[in-house]
Amino acid sequence: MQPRLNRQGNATLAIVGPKGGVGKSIISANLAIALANTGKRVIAVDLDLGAANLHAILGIRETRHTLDDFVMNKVSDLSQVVSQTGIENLGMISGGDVPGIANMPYQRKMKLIGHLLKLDSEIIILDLGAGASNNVVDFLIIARRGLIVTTPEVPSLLNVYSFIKATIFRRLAFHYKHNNSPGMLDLLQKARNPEKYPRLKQMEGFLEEAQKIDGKLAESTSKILEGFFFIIVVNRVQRPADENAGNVIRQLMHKYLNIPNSAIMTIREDGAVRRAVAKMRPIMIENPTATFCMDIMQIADELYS
Amino acid sequence: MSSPVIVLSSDNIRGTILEKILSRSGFDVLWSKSYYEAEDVLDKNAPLVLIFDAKGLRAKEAGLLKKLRINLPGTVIIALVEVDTMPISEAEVSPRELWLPEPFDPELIVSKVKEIVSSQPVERASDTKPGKDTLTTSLKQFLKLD
Repeated sequence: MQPRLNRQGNATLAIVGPKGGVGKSIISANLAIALANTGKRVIAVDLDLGAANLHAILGIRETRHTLDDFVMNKVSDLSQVVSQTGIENLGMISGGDVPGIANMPYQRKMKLIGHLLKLDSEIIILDLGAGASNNVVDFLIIARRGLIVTTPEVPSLLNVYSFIKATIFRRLAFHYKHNNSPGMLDLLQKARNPEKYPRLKQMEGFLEEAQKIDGKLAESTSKILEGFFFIIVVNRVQRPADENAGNVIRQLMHKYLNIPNSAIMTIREDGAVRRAVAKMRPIMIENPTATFCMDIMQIADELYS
Repeated sequence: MSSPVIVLSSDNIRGTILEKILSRSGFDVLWSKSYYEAEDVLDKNAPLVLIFDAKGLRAKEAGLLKKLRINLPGTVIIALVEVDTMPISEAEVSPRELWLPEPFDPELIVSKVKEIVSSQPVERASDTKPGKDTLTTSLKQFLKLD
Protein backbone atom coordinates (compact mmCIF):
# COMPACT_ATOMS: atom_id res chain seq x y z
CA MET A 1 0.00 0.00 0.00
CA GLN A 2 1.65 3.24 -1.10
CA PRO A 3 1.30 6.32 1.10
CA ARG A 4 -0.55 9.19 -0.55
CA LEU A 5 1.61 12.28 -0.41
CA ASN A 6 0.11 15.74 -0.54
CA ARG A 7 1.62 18.66 -2.46
CA GLN A 8 3.99 19.43 0.41
CA GLY A 9 5.37 15.89 0.24
CA ASN A 10 4.10 14.60 3.57
CA ALA A 11 1.61 11.81 4.10
CA THR A 12 -1.47 12.76 6.07
CA LEU A 13 -3.53 10.06 7.71
CA ALA A 14 -6.88 10.80 9.32
CA ILE A 15 -8.15 8.45 12.02
CA VAL A 16 -11.85 8.55 12.69
CA GLY A 17 -14.21 6.58 14.86
CA PRO A 18 -17.75 7.44 13.78
CA LYS A 19 -19.09 5.91 16.98
CA GLY A 20 -17.35 7.17 20.09
CA GLY A 21 -15.50 4.84 22.42
CA VAL A 22 -14.19 2.44 19.79
CA GLY A 23 -10.51 3.05 20.61
CA LYS A 24 -9.73 5.65 17.95
CA SER A 25 -7.44 7.87 20.04
CA ILE A 26 -5.60 4.91 21.56
CA ILE A 27 -4.96 3.63 18.04
CA SER A 28 -3.89 7.13 16.87
CA ALA A 29 -1.39 7.56 19.70
CA ASN A 30 0.13 4.12 19.44
CA LEU A 31 0.22 4.08 15.64
CA ALA A 32 2.06 7.41 15.80
CA ILE A 33 4.62 5.86 18.16
CA ALA A 34 4.95 2.74 15.99
CA LEU A 35 5.64 4.90 12.92
CA ALA A 36 8.06 7.15 14.83
CA ASN A 37 9.90 4.01 15.99
CA THR A 38 10.57 3.14 12.35
CA GLY A 39 12.59 6.38 12.07
CA LYS A 40 9.94 8.46 10.32
CA ARG A 41 9.25 11.98 11.57
CA VAL A 42 5.66 12.02 12.78
CA ILE A 43 3.35 14.69 14.19
CA ALA A 44 0.12 13.57 15.86
CA VAL A 45 -2.57 16.24 15.85
CA ASP A 46 -5.52 16.07 18.23
CA LEU A 47 -8.48 17.28 16.18
CA ASP A 48 -11.09 15.75 18.46
CA LEU A 49 -12.24 19.31 18.98
CA GLY A 50 -13.83 19.96 22.35
CA ALA A 51 -12.99 16.46 23.64
CA ALA A 52 -9.23 16.36 23.28
CA ASN A 53 -7.36 13.62 25.12
CA LEU A 54 -4.55 12.46 22.85
CA HIS A 55 -1.94 14.06 25.12
CA ALA A 56 -3.23 12.05 28.08
CA ILE A 57 -3.00 8.79 26.11
CA LEU A 58 0.56 9.71 25.19
CA GLY A 59 1.23 10.20 28.91
CA ILE A 60 1.69 13.97 28.69
CA ARG A 61 0.13 15.71 31.67
CA GLU A 62 0.86 19.31 30.75
CA THR A 63 1.25 20.99 27.40
CA ARG A 64 2.72 24.43 26.88
CA HIS A 65 0.73 25.11 23.72
CA THR A 66 -2.48 23.74 22.31
CA LEU A 67 -4.45 24.12 19.12
CA ASP A 68 -6.41 26.86 20.90
CA ASP A 69 -3.37 29.16 20.67
CA PHE A 70 -3.48 28.91 16.89
CA VAL A 71 -7.26 29.09 16.58
CA MET A 72 -7.36 32.12 18.90
CA ASN A 73 -4.57 33.79 16.88
CA LYS A 74 -2.12 33.79 19.81
CA VAL A 75 0.48 32.33 17.46
CA SER A 76 0.70 32.95 13.74
CA ASP A 77 1.95 29.56 12.59
CA LEU A 78 0.68 26.11 13.50
CA SER A 79 4.23 24.77 13.77
CA GLN A 80 4.64 26.96 16.88
CA VAL A 81 2.24 24.76 18.85
CA VAL A 82 3.98 21.47 18.10
CA SER A 83 5.12 19.98 21.43
CA GLN A 84 7.76 17.38 22.06
CA THR A 85 6.46 14.08 23.39
CA GLY A 86 9.67 12.67 24.80
CA ILE A 87 9.46 9.97 22.14
CA GLU A 88 12.07 10.21 19.43
CA ASN A 89 10.73 11.48 16.08
CA LEU A 90 7.26 12.15 17.50
CA GLY A 91 5.80 15.62 17.95
CA MET A 92 2.25 16.43 18.96
CA ILE A 93 -0.32 19.19 18.72
CA SER A 94 -2.65 19.04 21.71
CA GLY A 95 -6.32 19.56 21.07
CA GLY A 96 -8.25 22.66 21.80
CA ASP A 97 -11.08 22.91 24.26
CA VAL A 98 -12.22 26.52 24.06
CA PRO A 99 -16.03 26.64 23.92
CA GLY A 100 -17.28 26.50 20.35
CA ILE A 101 -14.08 25.15 18.83
CA ALA A 102 -15.93 22.08 17.53
CA ASN A 103 -18.07 24.41 15.40
CA MET A 104 -15.18 26.29 13.89
CA PRO A 105 -16.16 28.76 11.14
CA TYR A 106 -15.35 27.66 7.60
CA GLN A 107 -12.62 30.26 6.98
CA ARG A 108 -10.82 29.37 10.19
CA LYS A 109 -11.04 25.68 9.33
CA MET A 110 -9.55 26.33 5.88
CA LYS A 111 -6.69 28.29 7.47
CA LEU A 112 -6.05 25.38 9.85
CA ILE A 113 -6.11 22.90 6.97
CA GLY A 114 -3.61 25.02 5.03
CA HIS A 115 -1.21 25.07 8.00
CA LEU A 116 -1.68 21.34 8.72
CA LEU A 117 -0.59 20.45 5.22
CA LYS A 118 2.52 22.64 5.56
CA LEU A 119 3.79 21.06 8.79
CA ASP A 120 7.38 19.91 8.50
CA SER A 121 6.98 16.17 9.02
CA GLU A 122 6.99 12.99 6.96
CA ILE A 123 3.73 11.73 8.43
CA ILE A 124 0.90 13.74 9.98
CA ILE A 125 -1.70 11.82 11.93
CA LEU A 126 -5.03 13.55 12.48
CA ASP A 127 -7.00 12.17 15.41
CA LEU A 128 -10.55 13.27 14.56
CA GLY A 129 -13.68 13.38 16.68
CA ALA A 130 -16.65 11.03 16.67
CA GLY A 131 -19.74 11.56 14.53
CA ALA A 132 -20.08 12.69 10.94
CA SER A 133 -20.06 16.47 11.30
CA ASN A 134 -18.81 18.53 8.36
CA ASN A 135 -15.62 19.33 10.27
CA VAL A 136 -14.72 15.68 10.73
CA VAL A 137 -15.62 14.79 7.15
CA ASP A 138 -13.66 17.74 5.72
CA PHE A 139 -10.49 16.83 7.59
CA LEU A 140 -10.80 13.27 6.30
CA ILE A 141 -11.26 14.52 2.74
CA ILE A 142 -8.12 16.68 2.90
CA ALA A 143 -6.10 13.87 4.46
CA ARG A 144 -6.84 11.78 1.36
CA ARG A 145 -6.30 8.63 3.39
CA GLY A 146 -8.34 7.61 6.39
CA LEU A 147 -8.52 4.82 8.91
CA ILE A 148 -12.09 4.32 10.02
CA VAL A 149 -12.12 2.59 13.38
CA THR A 150 -15.01 0.41 14.45
CA THR A 151 -15.76 -2.44 16.81
CA PRO A 152 -17.49 -5.55 15.44
CA GLU A 153 -20.89 -4.63 16.93
CA VAL A 154 -23.84 -3.54 14.79
CA PRO A 155 -24.26 0.02 16.23
CA SER A 156 -20.65 0.89 15.43
CA LEU A 157 -20.84 -0.67 11.94
CA LEU A 158 -24.01 1.29 11.19
CA ASN A 159 -22.19 4.50 12.07
CA VAL A 160 -19.26 3.53 9.84
CA TYR A 161 -21.49 3.03 6.82
CA SER A 162 -23.35 6.28 7.47
CA PHE A 163 -20.07 8.13 7.92
CA ILE A 164 -18.66 6.82 4.64
CA LYS A 165 -21.86 7.79 2.86
CA ALA A 166 -21.73 11.29 4.40
CA THR A 167 -18.11 11.67 3.27
CA ILE A 168 -18.94 10.66 -0.29
CA PHE A 169 -21.95 12.95 -0.47
CA ARG A 170 -19.95 15.90 0.90
CA ARG A 171 -17.16 15.31 -1.61
CA LEU A 172 -19.68 15.11 -4.47
CA ALA A 173 -21.46 18.26 -3.26
CA PHE A 174 -18.13 20.14 -3.43
CA HIS A 175 -17.59 18.79 -6.93
CA TYR A 176 -21.02 19.78 -8.21
CA LYS A 177 -20.81 23.22 -6.58
CA HIS A 178 -17.40 23.75 -8.14
CA ASN A 179 -18.86 22.82 -11.53
CA ASN A 180 -21.91 24.98 -10.92
CA SER A 181 -24.43 22.21 -11.52
CA PRO A 182 -27.74 22.80 -9.69
CA GLY A 183 -29.21 19.74 -11.46
CA MET A 184 -26.63 17.41 -9.96
CA LEU A 185 -26.92 19.07 -6.55
CA ASP A 186 -30.66 18.50 -6.71
CA LEU A 187 -30.10 14.83 -7.58
CA LEU A 188 -27.72 14.51 -4.65
CA GLN A 189 -30.34 16.03 -2.39
CA LYS A 190 -32.90 13.48 -3.62
CA ALA A 191 -30.45 10.65 -2.94
CA ARG A 192 -30.48 11.69 0.73
CA ASN A 193 -34.09 10.56 0.84
CA PRO A 194 -33.98 6.94 -0.36
CA GLU A 195 -37.46 6.16 0.93
CA LYS A 196 -38.95 8.66 -1.49
CA TYR A 197 -36.47 7.92 -4.27
CA PRO A 198 -35.67 4.18 -3.91
CA ARG A 199 -33.90 4.10 -7.27
CA LEU A 200 -31.20 6.35 -5.78
CA LYS A 201 -30.55 3.94 -2.92
CA GLN A 202 -27.73 2.40 -4.92
CA MET A 203 -25.05 4.60 -6.47
CA GLU A 204 -25.60 2.70 -9.71
CA GLY A 205 -29.09 4.20 -9.96
CA PHE A 206 -27.69 7.60 -9.03
CA LEU A 207 -25.11 7.44 -11.84
CA GLU A 208 -27.77 6.45 -14.38
CA GLU A 209 -29.85 9.47 -13.39
CA ALA A 210 -26.72 11.66 -13.41
CA GLN A 211 -25.98 10.56 -16.96
CA LYS A 212 -29.31 12.02 -18.04
CA ILE A 213 -28.46 15.37 -16.42
CA ASP A 214 -24.78 15.79 -17.32
CA GLY A 215 -22.74 13.04 -18.97
CA LYS A 216 -19.37 14.59 -18.11
CA LEU A 217 -20.22 15.06 -14.45
CA ALA A 218 -21.58 11.52 -14.26
CA GLU A 219 -18.24 10.31 -15.57
CA SER A 220 -16.23 12.43 -13.14
CA THR A 221 -18.47 11.21 -10.32
CA SER A 222 -17.50 7.62 -11.16
CA LYS A 223 -13.83 8.62 -11.08
CA ILE A 224 -14.23 10.31 -7.70
CA LEU A 225 -15.85 7.16 -6.32
CA GLU A 226 -13.02 5.03 -7.71
CA GLY A 227 -10.51 7.37 -6.06
CA PHE A 228 -11.85 6.85 -2.54
CA PHE A 229 -9.83 4.43 -0.48
CA PHE A 230 -11.20 3.68 2.97
CA ILE A 231 -9.30 1.54 5.43
CA ILE A 232 -11.64 -0.06 7.93
CA VAL A 233 -9.97 -1.04 11.19
CA VAL A 234 -12.01 -3.51 13.22
CA ASN A 235 -10.83 -3.06 16.79
CA ARG A 236 -11.37 -5.35 19.79
CA VAL A 237 -11.73 -8.52 17.75
CA GLN A 238 -12.41 -11.52 19.98
CA ARG A 239 -13.74 -14.29 17.70
CA PRO A 240 -13.16 -15.35 14.10
CA ALA A 241 -16.67 -14.13 13.26
CA ASP A 242 -15.70 -10.61 14.40
CA GLU A 243 -13.12 -10.41 11.64
CA ASN A 244 -15.94 -10.65 9.09
CA ALA A 245 -17.45 -7.36 10.26
CA GLY A 246 -15.06 -5.40 8.06
CA ASN A 247 -15.83 -7.56 5.05
CA VAL A 248 -19.54 -7.03 5.50
CA ILE A 249 -19.06 -3.24 5.44
CA ARG A 250 -16.76 -3.56 2.44
CA GLN A 251 -19.40 -5.52 0.51
CA LEU A 252 -22.10 -2.97 1.36
CA MET A 253 -19.80 -0.12 0.29
CA HIS A 254 -19.13 -1.83 -3.00
CA LYS A 255 -22.72 -2.76 -3.75
CA TYR A 256 -24.54 0.39 -2.61
CA LEU A 257 -21.93 3.15 -2.81
CA ASN A 258 -19.80 1.98 -5.77
CA ILE A 259 -16.61 2.12 -3.72
CA PRO A 260 -14.43 -0.61 -5.20
CA ASN A 261 -11.27 0.13 -3.25
CA SER A 262 -10.95 -0.46 0.47
CA ALA A 263 -8.87 -2.43 2.94
CA ILE A 264 -9.72 -4.20 6.17
CA MET A 265 -7.39 -4.43 9.13
CA THR A 266 -8.06 -5.98 12.52
CA ILE A 267 -6.82 -5.44 16.05
CA ARG A 268 -7.35 -8.13 18.62
CA GLU A 269 -8.92 -7.51 22.04
CA ASP A 270 -6.17 -7.07 24.59
CA GLY A 271 -6.66 -6.43 28.31
CA ALA A 272 -3.19 -4.88 28.45
CA VAL A 273 -4.55 -1.76 26.71
CA ARG A 274 -6.84 -0.92 29.62
CA ARG A 275 -4.03 -1.36 32.11
CA ALA A 276 -1.72 0.92 30.13
CA VAL A 277 -4.43 3.59 29.87
CA ALA A 278 -5.00 3.37 33.63
CA LYS A 279 -1.30 4.05 34.14
CA MET A 280 -1.44 6.91 31.62
CA ARG A 281 1.32 5.29 29.60
CA PRO A 282 1.10 4.44 25.89
CA ILE A 283 0.96 0.67 25.56
CA MET A 284 3.63 0.81 22.84
CA ILE A 285 5.98 2.02 25.60
CA GLU A 286 4.52 0.12 28.54
CA ASN A 287 4.14 -3.31 26.96
CA PRO A 288 5.47 -3.32 23.38
CA THR A 289 5.10 -7.08 22.95
CA ALA A 290 1.35 -7.08 23.74
CA THR A 291 -0.90 -8.41 20.97
CA PHE A 292 -2.38 -4.92 20.49
CA CYS A 293 1.10 -3.56 19.71
CA MET A 294 1.82 -6.41 17.31
CA ASP A 295 -1.37 -5.56 15.41
CA ILE A 296 -0.58 -1.82 15.42
CA MET A 297 2.91 -2.47 14.08
CA GLN A 298 1.45 -4.60 11.32
CA ILE A 299 -0.90 -1.74 10.37
CA ALA A 300 2.02 0.71 10.39
CA ASP A 301 3.98 -1.64 8.19
CA GLU A 302 1.12 -2.09 5.73
CA LEU A 303 0.51 1.66 5.55
CA TYR A 304 4.05 2.94 5.17
CA SER A 305 6.48 0.12 4.46
CA MET B 1 -2.27 -32.71 20.41
CA SER B 2 -1.02 -29.28 21.47
CA SER B 3 -3.36 -26.75 23.04
CA PRO B 4 -2.63 -23.83 25.31
CA VAL B 5 -3.89 -24.61 28.78
CA ILE B 6 -3.05 -22.47 31.79
CA VAL B 7 -3.34 -23.70 35.37
CA LEU B 8 -3.70 -21.07 38.09
CA SER B 9 -3.09 -22.76 41.44
CA SER B 10 -1.27 -21.52 44.52
CA ASP B 11 -1.13 -25.12 45.81
CA ASN B 12 2.25 -26.66 44.94
CA ILE B 13 1.06 -30.27 44.97
CA ARG B 14 -2.13 -29.75 42.96
CA GLY B 15 -0.39 -27.43 40.51
CA THR B 16 2.44 -29.91 39.90
CA ILE B 17 0.02 -32.81 39.41
CA LEU B 18 -2.12 -30.90 36.93
CA GLU B 19 0.89 -29.66 34.99
CA LYS B 20 2.34 -33.18 34.70
CA ILE B 21 -0.85 -35.00 33.85
CA LEU B 22 -1.97 -32.44 31.26
CA SER B 23 1.49 -32.37 29.74
CA ARG B 24 1.51 -36.17 29.51
CA SER B 25 -1.84 -36.01 27.74
CA GLY B 26 -0.25 -33.91 25.01
CA PHE B 27 -1.36 -30.42 26.09
CA ASP B 28 0.87 -27.39 25.98
CA VAL B 29 0.41 -26.39 29.61
CA LEU B 30 1.66 -23.61 31.83
CA TRP B 31 1.23 -23.66 35.60
CA SER B 32 1.29 -20.38 37.42
CA LYS B 33 0.95 -19.81 41.15
CA SER B 34 -0.78 -16.46 40.84
CA TYR B 35 -2.71 -14.37 38.36
CA TYR B 36 -0.05 -11.69 38.44
CA GLU B 37 2.65 -14.21 37.58
CA ALA B 38 0.58 -15.33 34.56
CA GLU B 39 -0.58 -11.85 33.57
CA ASP B 40 1.93 -11.31 30.77
CA VAL B 41 1.22 -14.70 29.22
CA LEU B 42 -2.53 -14.12 29.49
CA ASP B 43 -2.18 -10.71 27.85
CA LYS B 44 -0.22 -12.01 24.91
CA ASN B 45 -2.12 -15.22 24.28
CA ALA B 46 -5.48 -15.96 25.77
CA PRO B 47 -5.54 -19.72 26.47
CA LEU B 48 -8.25 -22.00 25.18
CA VAL B 49 -8.71 -23.40 28.69
CA LEU B 50 -7.83 -21.91 32.05
CA ILE B 51 -7.97 -24.13 35.13
CA PHE B 52 -8.64 -21.92 38.11
CA ASP B 53 -7.98 -23.67 41.39
CA ALA B 54 -10.30 -21.68 43.63
CA LYS B 55 -10.54 -24.03 46.57
CA GLY B 56 -12.60 -22.17 49.10
CA LEU B 57 -13.64 -19.44 46.70
CA ARG B 58 -13.44 -16.62 49.17
CA ALA B 59 -13.97 -12.97 48.25
CA LYS B 60 -10.48 -12.65 46.75
CA GLU B 61 -10.91 -15.69 44.51
CA ALA B 62 -14.42 -14.65 43.52
CA GLY B 63 -13.09 -11.24 42.45
CA LEU B 64 -10.32 -12.85 40.46
CA LEU B 65 -12.78 -15.17 38.73
CA LYS B 66 -14.85 -12.14 37.75
CA LYS B 67 -11.72 -10.46 36.38
CA LEU B 68 -10.80 -13.56 34.37
CA ARG B 69 -14.30 -13.69 32.84
CA ILE B 70 -13.90 -10.10 31.62
CA ASN B 71 -10.29 -10.31 30.45
CA LEU B 72 -10.56 -13.71 28.77
CA PRO B 73 -13.90 -13.73 26.96
CA GLY B 74 -12.84 -16.48 24.55
CA THR B 75 -11.41 -18.82 27.19
CA VAL B 76 -13.24 -21.69 28.86
CA ILE B 77 -12.62 -21.49 32.60
CA ILE B 78 -12.64 -24.66 34.69
CA ALA B 79 -13.09 -23.60 38.31
CA LEU B 80 -12.07 -26.13 40.97
CA VAL B 81 -14.13 -25.38 44.07
CA GLU B 82 -15.41 -26.89 47.30
CA VAL B 83 -18.87 -28.43 47.27
CA ASP B 84 -20.43 -25.74 49.45
CA THR B 85 -19.36 -23.00 47.03
CA MET B 86 -20.93 -24.66 43.97
CA PRO B 87 -23.57 -22.50 42.26
CA ILE B 88 -27.15 -23.44 43.18
CA SER B 89 -28.39 -23.53 39.60
CA GLU B 90 -26.85 -23.90 36.15
CA ALA B 91 -28.17 -20.46 35.27
CA GLU B 92 -25.58 -18.92 37.58
CA VAL B 93 -22.71 -20.34 35.53
CA SER B 94 -21.48 -18.73 32.32
CA PRO B 95 -21.68 -21.01 29.25
CA ARG B 96 -17.90 -20.73 28.96
CA GLU B 97 -17.36 -21.90 32.51
CA LEU B 98 -17.27 -25.28 34.22
CA TRP B 99 -17.30 -25.72 38.00
CA LEU B 100 -15.82 -28.96 39.34
CA PRO B 101 -16.31 -29.69 43.05
CA GLU B 102 -13.85 -31.34 45.42
CA PRO B 103 -12.47 -33.96 45.77
CA PHE B 104 -9.65 -33.05 43.45
CA ASP B 105 -9.82 -35.46 40.49
CA PRO B 106 -7.02 -34.90 37.96
CA GLU B 107 -8.36 -37.57 35.56
CA LEU B 108 -11.75 -35.88 35.44
CA ILE B 109 -10.12 -32.51 34.81
CA VAL B 110 -8.07 -33.90 31.92
CA SER B 111 -11.14 -35.50 30.37
CA LYS B 112 -13.00 -32.18 30.59
CA VAL B 113 -10.09 -30.34 28.95
CA LYS B 114 -10.08 -32.92 26.13
CA GLU B 115 -13.84 -32.44 25.65
CA ILE B 116 -13.46 -28.66 25.44
CA VAL B 117 -10.52 -28.76 23.05
CA SER B 118 -12.13 -31.30 20.73
CA SER B 119 -15.38 -29.29 20.57
CA GLN B 120 -13.68 -26.02 19.61
CA PRO B 121 -13.17 -26.37 15.82
CA VAL B 122 -16.78 -27.50 15.29
CA GLU B 123 -18.09 -24.63 17.38
CA ARG B 124 -15.96 -22.04 15.58
CA ALA B 125 -16.78 -23.29 12.09
CA SER B 126 -20.47 -23.20 12.81
CA ASP B 127 -20.55 -19.70 14.23
CA THR B 128 -18.60 -17.98 11.46
CA LYS B 129 -20.81 -18.15 8.37
CA PRO B 130 -24.22 -17.60 9.99
CA GLY B 131 -22.70 -14.72 11.96
CA LYS B 132 -21.69 -12.98 8.76
CA ASP B 133 -25.08 -13.51 7.12
CA THR B 134 -26.91 -12.30 10.21
CA LEU B 135 -24.71 -9.22 10.39
CA THR B 136 -25.30 -8.36 6.72
CA THR B 137 -29.05 -8.77 7.17
CA SER B 138 -29.11 -6.64 10.33
CA LEU B 139 -27.09 -3.84 8.74
CA LYS B 140 -29.24 -3.80 5.61
CA GLN B 141 -32.38 -3.62 7.74
CA PHE B 142 -31.11 -0.80 9.94
CA LEU B 143 -29.72 1.12 6.97
CA LYS B 144 -32.92 0.47 4.99
CA LEU B 145 -30.90 -0.78 2.04
CA ASP B 146 -33.33 -3.46 0.88
